[in-house]
Amino acid sequence: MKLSRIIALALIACMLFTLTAFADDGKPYAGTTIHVVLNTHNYYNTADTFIPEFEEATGITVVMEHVERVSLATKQEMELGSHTGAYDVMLIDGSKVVRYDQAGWVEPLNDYIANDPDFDYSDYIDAYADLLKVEDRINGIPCVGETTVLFYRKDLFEQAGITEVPKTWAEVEAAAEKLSAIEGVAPLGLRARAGEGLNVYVWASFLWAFGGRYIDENGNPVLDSPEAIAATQKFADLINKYGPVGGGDMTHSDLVPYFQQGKLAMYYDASVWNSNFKDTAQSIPEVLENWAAAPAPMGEDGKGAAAVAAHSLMISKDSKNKDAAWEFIKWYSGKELQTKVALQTETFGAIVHKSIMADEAFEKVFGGHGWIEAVEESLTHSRPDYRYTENPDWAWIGDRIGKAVQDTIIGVGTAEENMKTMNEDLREFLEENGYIK
Amino acid sequence: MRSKIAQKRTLWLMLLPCFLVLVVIIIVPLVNLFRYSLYNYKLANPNGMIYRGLKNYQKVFRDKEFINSLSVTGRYVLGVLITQVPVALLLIETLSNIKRGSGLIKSLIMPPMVVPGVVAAVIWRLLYNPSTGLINFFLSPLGLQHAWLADPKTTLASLVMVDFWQNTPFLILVLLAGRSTISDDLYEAGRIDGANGFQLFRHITLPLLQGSLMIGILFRIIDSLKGFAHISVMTSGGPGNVTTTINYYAYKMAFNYTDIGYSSALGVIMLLITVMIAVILVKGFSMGGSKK
Repeated sequence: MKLSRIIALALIACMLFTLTAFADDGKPYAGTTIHVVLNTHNYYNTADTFIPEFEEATGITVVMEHVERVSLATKQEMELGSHTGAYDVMLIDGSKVVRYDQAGWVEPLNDYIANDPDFDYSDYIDAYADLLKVEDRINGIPCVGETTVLFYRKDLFEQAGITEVPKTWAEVEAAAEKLSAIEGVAPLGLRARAGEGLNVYVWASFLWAFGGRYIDENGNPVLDSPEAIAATQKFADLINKYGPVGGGDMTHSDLVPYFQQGKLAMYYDASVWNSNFKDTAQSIPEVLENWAAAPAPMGEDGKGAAAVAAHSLMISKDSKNKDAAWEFIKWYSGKELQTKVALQTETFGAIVHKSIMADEAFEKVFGGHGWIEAVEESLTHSRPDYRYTENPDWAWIGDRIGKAVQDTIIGVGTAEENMKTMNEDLREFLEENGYIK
Repeated sequence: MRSKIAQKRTLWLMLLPCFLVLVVIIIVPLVNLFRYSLYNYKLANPNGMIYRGLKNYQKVFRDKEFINSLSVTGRYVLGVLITQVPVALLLIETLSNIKRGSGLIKSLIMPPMVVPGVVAAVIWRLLYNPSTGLINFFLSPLGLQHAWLADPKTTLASLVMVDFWQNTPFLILVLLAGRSTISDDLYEAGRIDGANGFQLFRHITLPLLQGSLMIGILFRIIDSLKGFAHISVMTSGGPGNVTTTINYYAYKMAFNYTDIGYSSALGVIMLLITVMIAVILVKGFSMGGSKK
């Protein structure tokens, strides 16, 4: 080739390169509008106030909607199932990821992550990020993460003569027995109301602690095992003996206010409630001063598990603004915004970044009360199959398990009867839907 | 003078918009209801709709949850009728015999009917709260406090009570309208013949009230079959499935699990049950009427 030709081609190549600079410059998605729908959470209340900044910086208009989580699940299935494409960013979590993945509703993010050098995926806490993976597809980015911890009142422990924080469920029971001497306070709060995201979320800790599990190697349900029955019996006994009056139908929306009003001595539930207990507008002074958190209690012989869940952001496959949606997801779950919200509100601690957990400023606000340590310790005992969410029909399965558990609590049948009947129903369901032969 | 044919045509043209609306709002969804009930149609299934014929219906009749919901619905409707009809009849008798102030009393009875079901449910849920609710507050000096909604033995009755508070006024309205058409002369004649209050009620009011009574009862049955707001807000069909009516069960299958096929089958069955009840009721009342 002639030299002049080579130089000409090289110059054209250089000029083409500069065109990419044009794309990065300014606001590539200016004028796009994205629609976001998520559940309700303290984090969003504050994070949303920064949306105008995001809109200013990127030129993207964000229309944000919040719907309570259980109703949101229904709404999302309706939208996704009818392929309306009305929302670009939606909520996803470990209990839905396999279902959405199989239905073809969610856009995998592997390419977005790989092609984005500024995005530090490794900073997201592994326990949360792994929940969103199906085979090698990354279907969501965590935004609000949680595990389970045991909240308790230091002053009531002192009053009852409890010197060591319980580490196993047997120790929790012993502590509850001592606490039952205190008037006007229920020793222990546990979710009772039936639901895959309600009582099952907490009951599963007992299942694992007692050595039970959901399915065997062949996929057959084994929730009628002696271990599972014992776990359910103990769960029901603790609620009936040490729970508040009417506790047989309560869930977190009832129990969190009880703890805030000083009516519960111990409460085993999601770690995110620390923000409620720190809230000066909602918690009585005794609670504000004396609430503390301990890692999730385990069973005997090191068995046991803590829950892990993360409200995460996904891009819907029907979205027409996937790139703009990705920009929003990066920012909304990003380290800068989360740090800002955590330090500004002093109540939102459910961050999902490893670097923030180790941040001094974060520790100053959220340290004390043993909460950070409890969360870190609980996460080491968490497992992604804490609930049988790998099955796309988990919603039905989980609700059915929850019903068997609640029936035992309220005295409709014994633990053995309910678990055996439920296991039979599960077997039929799994066979009918082709999960087992 | 226009020909009869031209007149008829104008008539049909004027009715056409109305027909179109009816077709879209009623016929199309109804046809789709029957259609979907014959398919395995789950929104999360990427394979879409799979024809199953009557298999969904076979599944329904083998479904323990469905059998339970039949029982719950039956008891709920029965509870509603047993509490509301006698009380409504009693109240209209009383109201008809009060000359002054009956208008004021009537307007005081109406508000519960006007409150939206969801609002009523939220308020009653607070009232029923075992530790902070007003009901237990007033019952505790008597030692009668109870976890009304959480105890499976009392949940259904507690819901029936809320329905009673909210819908008896409607029944009173309907029955009062019928009562007011009964001429006072009949009662005078009866009194002259020496009949007491109860006899007047039994032999004059009750027979002549048949029309309104039938309508009132029919509406109450249909409304309680459709009942949703109270159940959804106060108990979510629980505890367990103690308050899951057929309607709530169909809702759960359709919206929690997006199993459109199965919930459509449930919907068709509900439709058939409602139509059956309506036919039996109308026949029962008209037969009773013609017996005289």
